[in-house]
Amino acid sequence: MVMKKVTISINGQEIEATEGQSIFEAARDNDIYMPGICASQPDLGVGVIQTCDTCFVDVNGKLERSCSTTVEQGMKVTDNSDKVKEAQLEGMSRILENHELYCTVCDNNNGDCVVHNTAEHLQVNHQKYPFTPKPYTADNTHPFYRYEPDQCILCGLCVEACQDLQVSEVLTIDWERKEPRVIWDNDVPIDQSSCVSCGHCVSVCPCNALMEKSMLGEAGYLTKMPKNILEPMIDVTKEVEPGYSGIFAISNVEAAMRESRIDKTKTVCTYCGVGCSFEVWTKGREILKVQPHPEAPANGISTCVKGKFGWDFVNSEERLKTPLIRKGDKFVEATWDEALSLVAEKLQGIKQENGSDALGFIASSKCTNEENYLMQKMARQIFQTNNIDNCSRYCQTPASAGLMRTVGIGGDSGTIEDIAAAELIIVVGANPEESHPVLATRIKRAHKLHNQKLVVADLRKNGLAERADLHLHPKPGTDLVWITAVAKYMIDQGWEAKEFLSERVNNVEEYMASLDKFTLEYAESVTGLTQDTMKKVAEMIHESTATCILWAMGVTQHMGGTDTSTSIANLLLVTGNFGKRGTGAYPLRGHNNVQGASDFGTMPNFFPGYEAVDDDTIRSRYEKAWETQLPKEPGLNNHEIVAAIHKGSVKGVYLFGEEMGLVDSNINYVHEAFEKLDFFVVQDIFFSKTAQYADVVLPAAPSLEKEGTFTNTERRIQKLNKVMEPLGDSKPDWEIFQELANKLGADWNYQSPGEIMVEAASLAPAFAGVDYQRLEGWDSLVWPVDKDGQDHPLLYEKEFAFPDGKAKLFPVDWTPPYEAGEGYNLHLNNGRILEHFHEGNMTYQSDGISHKVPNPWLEVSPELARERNIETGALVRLTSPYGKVKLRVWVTDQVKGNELYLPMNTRKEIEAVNKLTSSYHDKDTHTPNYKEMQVKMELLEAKGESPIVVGNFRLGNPQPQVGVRVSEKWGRKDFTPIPELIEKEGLFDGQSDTAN
Amino acid sequence: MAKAIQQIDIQQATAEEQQHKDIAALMTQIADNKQSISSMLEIIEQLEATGALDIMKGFLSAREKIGTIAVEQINQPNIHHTIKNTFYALGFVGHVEPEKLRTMLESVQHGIESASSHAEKTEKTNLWGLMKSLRDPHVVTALSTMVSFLNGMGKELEEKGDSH
Repeated sequence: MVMKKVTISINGQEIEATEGQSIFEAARDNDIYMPGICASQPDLGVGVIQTCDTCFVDVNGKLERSCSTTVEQGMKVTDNSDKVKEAQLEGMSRILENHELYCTVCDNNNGDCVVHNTAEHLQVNHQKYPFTPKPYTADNTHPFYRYEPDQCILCGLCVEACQDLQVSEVLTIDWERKEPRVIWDNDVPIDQSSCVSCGHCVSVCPCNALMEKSMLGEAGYLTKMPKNILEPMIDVTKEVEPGYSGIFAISNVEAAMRESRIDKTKTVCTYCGVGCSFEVWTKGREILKVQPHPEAPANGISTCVKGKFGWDFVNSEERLKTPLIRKGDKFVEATWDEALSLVAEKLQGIKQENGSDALGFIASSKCTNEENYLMQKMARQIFQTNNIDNCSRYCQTPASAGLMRTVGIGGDSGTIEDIAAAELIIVVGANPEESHPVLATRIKRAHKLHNQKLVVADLRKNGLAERADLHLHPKPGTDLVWITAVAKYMIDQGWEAKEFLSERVNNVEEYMASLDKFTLEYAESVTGLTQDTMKKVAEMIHESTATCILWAMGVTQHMGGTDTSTSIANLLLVTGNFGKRGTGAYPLRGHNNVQGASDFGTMPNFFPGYEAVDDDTIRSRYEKAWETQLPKEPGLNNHEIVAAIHKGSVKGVYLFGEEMGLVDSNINYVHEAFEKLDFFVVQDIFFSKTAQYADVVLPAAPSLEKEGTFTNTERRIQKLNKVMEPLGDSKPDWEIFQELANKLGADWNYQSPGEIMVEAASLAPAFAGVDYQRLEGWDSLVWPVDKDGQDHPLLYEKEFAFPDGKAKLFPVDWTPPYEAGEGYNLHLNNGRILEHFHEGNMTYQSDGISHKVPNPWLEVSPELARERNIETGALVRLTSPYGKVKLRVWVTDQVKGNELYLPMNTRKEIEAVNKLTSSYHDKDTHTPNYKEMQVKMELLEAKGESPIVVGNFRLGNPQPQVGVRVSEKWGRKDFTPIPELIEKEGLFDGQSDTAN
Repeated sequence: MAKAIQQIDIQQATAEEQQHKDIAALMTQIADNKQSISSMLEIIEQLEATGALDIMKGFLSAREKIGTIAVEQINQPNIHHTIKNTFYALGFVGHVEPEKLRTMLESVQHGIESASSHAEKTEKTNLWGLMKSLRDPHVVTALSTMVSFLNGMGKELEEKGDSH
């Protein structure tokens, strides 16, 4: 889309602007500074809110807000006339009535305070309207941020961000009261509101009204001053001030001094597959705050509670700081040399005695691309085995396999922008609002403001389902049936994309023939959905010109996970929803680098870039580069490695960055396998459950302590930079691999992760153009990346990733889910919650997060609770054929009938869902069928404390509205529009820096 | 064959060992900066000898109390006036052109000298003598300067009166 250009003049200077832009944006794009506090952040994704009134300009002789006036050809804009200056100054004076300037002793005085900078630009010298405190005290109840009404300028950026960007709909400004303020829910303390702690409001606040508590008293040189000195000092300053210019001069010096001790380092979040990037502000090892940036490609200024506030674990006392070696029944500390020599000797010994394939390597989707690349290189080059896999085996391999069958590339077809631009979003078996929070905000925003339609198919009425135009609740494990029935119904109606199918898709006939059995009647009987519901879905897809389907573990963690993923791709192909903006298939990757770990070759059958290990041409490329013969046969995957340990054929395992002892299914069986190993190396940042079985534990460094790249769910490669040095003797994983490899005589010599990427890019065509120089700052690359650096955010525009460029419809059939048998009468659903990551080794280290969610719970439907006479707080035991757990109940209508939901986030075995799950798995990829289990429930204690504690957002009471409702401000009796006031008062003072 | 174990033997001479490590590191640093450290020690010696260290110690240990007292003292109307007046005086001085001010101040100096020598004479000046001195060109210059000054001041006072 090419936007038309228009020419306007600003202060007589001709500039080019894009049609549809505001004057404010046009000026900014031409490097002309215009004041505008609430408009100063138009890239935030927050709308034009018109609350601050500091951006008035003269447009063809009339005073207008530059933020809300659209450019027109030939428009004449002035912002340097006396009248304009007077108007802008009036706006600023009204702001300063609400905001006390004590910049030098303010923690927000970091050079980027918008209120400070605007006041300084306008040369405000005195307060026209004296500052008066509001009749409210500061709200310090929330563990992570505070609200100070006395500093709040009522610009409403926070409200806008909460209502329309994050769409949690917690904040409003009550314009009705005499002294308006921001309120949470229906005016409750912040901690008791429905606030999800995403931090949007704090990140957009243009002053110090909303601030991270970690900044308070820490950012400035003088801000730690005791109150009894600070307050009179502010009084003195105000009393004697020679005008604000002096204050600004001093505060600017102080702000400049802060730069010498506060580091701001860009990193990429590790808490899910969205791939948020942001700056981490640190003073030594102390994290002052996480500051997102409008230019961040995946998230802009968005974050969730974990990314914004969940980093305490890096300084945890529990971090592993030295290598540990098992001696008898305890671990003793060792030097790196001792530990690595032992690892080298033992693994080499097993290889010599039992062959290469007696070793297994388990890589980490939490670690970098470079580290995964090195781990697979070590397994293949040094130990001569393809027995290497990563945890995408637990979640998303079926999705990748389904896409490789049909469209050729195992990744999202487009980016988050496409998801936001789609006319229809269908979410199947996923809970993005909690598992991919920032991605979910884009859907919620498009649905709330831009007419996007939303269909959610999920057992639970989760956050998105609550908002959806249509919520489907099929019987567990039957998604393939309704999806295929919808495809068949659409073809029967003649609604298929005929041209698309004939020109771009193979195998159409064979696929059509396979559909016979998937009638609406059949689907109704299997899924429990009514025929009308399925017809409605078909109609919605038919009426939409751009549909995206998003799915996650509700689809993949089944015995037919790959087939269901395939059926989704089939439906999208039948309806022509690939290769154009706003369309495509989006398997939502769970962890930060699920995509990248597989991309960079920690898979038993693939080299980096999904090139088959048994292809002689490809393998010889690696053999030449690594100067050795490489094994041809694909190796064992995670699941097969565990089985092989039980069988006795695998005797040594090297695992890094994976809590396999809690997150693999059927953990009792996994623990027994660990016990059988001759030698087990675990590399982690914490002494995990898995580490308890290790012979050597190696202390690794988390993302904040190293450099590298992650690849998010969009296939977007982003660089993370080292924020701080590794704690104690811990080391980045890539350094550990290199030292071990060199103990084994490999003679690797990578000076930095960048050099590892150079090697990977030279070998894997998909990453040919990946180079750290192209990943500086906020730059990123969405693979495939051509040699010249051209990347491909939207796939399949011209051709699909098969030799003839055509996609392939792939007939699939339904695999009935696992049945636990007689007496196991409740379905056990499971997954994540917003606040915690994975088993919680990292997030439970945050006091604030643990205050909000100290423990998991069991969700029970009101129907079942009535039937069993159970109430919230009751303690129950769940039993499956594989194990038992014990938890407290939360009765909620998020779950229906005999379906239970158990969050996976716990470090205690007695609460761990995987005590209950089985070792059955997807028939094609061996991903465990976590979502297919039934249990018995016994009541142990009828009453008890609710597991959902005060502070949990789920107890809140959101107040949805669109934006900040500035019209209510304008309707107040004490509000006079600034142009009106200027006309009335006349030009009494043209010199804004004159005191009076 | 390894059961899960949780016991970790942390080599707990840590406190002492850590101290040894830290001391060793410090020693190296001291040795590397021998010259600057010995100069600093000499300065400290002098400070101690003059009693300055004692004063500083007392000041620092009572810093919060002193801070409170100081700020309280400063936060008084008369101090506000002093500070404000200082700013105004500085502003005034800043606005006047140096050459003009020099001429004026030199004239004032001469005036003072002449006045004091007159005072020393003790003889009375009668009305006639005073009238006579009005013919003195020096006196005329001084008086007309004074009148111009009064004129300017009057104008400013009038303007301020209007605007208030």
